[in-house]
Amino acid sequence: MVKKGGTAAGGEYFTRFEKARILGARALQISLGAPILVDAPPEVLDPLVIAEMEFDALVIPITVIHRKLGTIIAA
Amino acid sequence: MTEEIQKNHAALRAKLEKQTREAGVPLPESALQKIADLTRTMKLSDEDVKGIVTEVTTRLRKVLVDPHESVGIIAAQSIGEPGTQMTLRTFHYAGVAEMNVTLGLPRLIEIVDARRAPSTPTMTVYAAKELREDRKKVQDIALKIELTALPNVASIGSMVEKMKVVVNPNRHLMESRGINRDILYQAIVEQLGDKKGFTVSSGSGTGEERTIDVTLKEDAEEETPYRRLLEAADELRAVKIGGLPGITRALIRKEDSGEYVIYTEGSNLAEVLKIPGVDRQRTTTNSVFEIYSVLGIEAARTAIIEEANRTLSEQGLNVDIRHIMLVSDVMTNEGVIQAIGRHGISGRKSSVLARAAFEITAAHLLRAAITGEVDELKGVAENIIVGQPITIGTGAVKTIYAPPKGKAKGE
Repeated sequence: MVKKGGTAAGGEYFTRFEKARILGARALQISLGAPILVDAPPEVLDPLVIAEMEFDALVIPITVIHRKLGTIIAA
Repeated sequence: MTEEIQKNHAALRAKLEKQTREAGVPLPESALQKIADLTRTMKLSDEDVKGIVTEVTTRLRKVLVDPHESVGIIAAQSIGEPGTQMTLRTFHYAGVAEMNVTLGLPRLIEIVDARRAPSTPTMTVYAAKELREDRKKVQDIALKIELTALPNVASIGSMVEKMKVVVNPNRHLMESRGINRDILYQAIVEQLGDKKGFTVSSGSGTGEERTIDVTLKEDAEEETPYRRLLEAADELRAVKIGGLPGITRALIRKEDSGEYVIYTEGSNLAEVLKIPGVDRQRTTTNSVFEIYSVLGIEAARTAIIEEANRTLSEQGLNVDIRHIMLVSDVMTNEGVIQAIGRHGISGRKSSVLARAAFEITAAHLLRAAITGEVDELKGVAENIIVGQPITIGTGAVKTIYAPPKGKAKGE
């Protein structure tokens, strides 16, 4: 199951593990006070929910490293 | 004509392959072949083909396993849970006609443990196309396969007072096995005659049932003639008349398809395949090791899959074949068959900590310390021990900063 997700890097396909990892990393940043990159309604307080909104809007500046044939390629 | 078709076919295949590669998910060879066949038989337009490829690709993408998925554990559980249902029916014997075949949990354990020989080796021998519906011809093959020893066709009695052992051939038994007294006589002479110091001669009676006498050689100076005579009787019982070593019984059964198939007790794949009239492609054995030594590791891999799958489905348990394939792959990927468990895979993991976590912890750690082993901390068990995220699923994904695209600085 490959879900089409999004980060600032563009609309690639992410596995559910990759999505979870990115959401987690971003939610941590937000919880520590990072500027939010999406217009979230003020009643939304959960950093994870905000991260999800950012993910859907393809604006999270995080991507994953794929190891292919011994070289490291940023997906 | 056919050449042209083939050429067109190949071109179509190449085109399809390119299309699917562009779609991001390369389709398996078999799927490509099917689409190519369909395109030709149904005279599909380019657009139709494109639609099919898109649909197939999306569906394939949905069922693909994600990278970092812990397939091993899923396979273990998927086989283990139905396995618990099998335990209640341990040592369940069933099978073809009146033959006994180990099934159920004991059989599954046998396969996974990579035992050299199954506890009940059996073969399924198919006859070549022209013979398979002719009972007589299949029977002939069965006779060549089934091991016939002297006691199967004759009674053996020792007459101590006359210092001889008498073999009474049974005409009916000999006929049913397709042999005659001459063959019997020859076999006894060859296997028991001068070589072992006995004299073989024809005794009383006439025709096929004329007895065969075995006596001690006249010039032999035996200290214990009586004991030698009893030995002669024992030797006679071991005389082999026909058939293949290892195969004690061969039964013929008519299948629903109308063909006759030979089922055997005991297995000797190498020799059976040499017999003319045997279908070498379909004939098989339940001894994985025999398949490995005769046909090689790839055949062994398939054999493990088939045997395990059959054992499970025979009990009404449906395990997805891919779990079993994974087990089989793990067992065979080094070119030899390895067992799952202490003596096999688990016992020779490269990581010390993984081995220590499995069994005899202290011994493994001590040896590793003495020899200065290095642990790369690549597996799951090692990382749990040292308290790191495991390299599976989310824990295996590494993230990196991705600068936003197409946006000028200070926007």
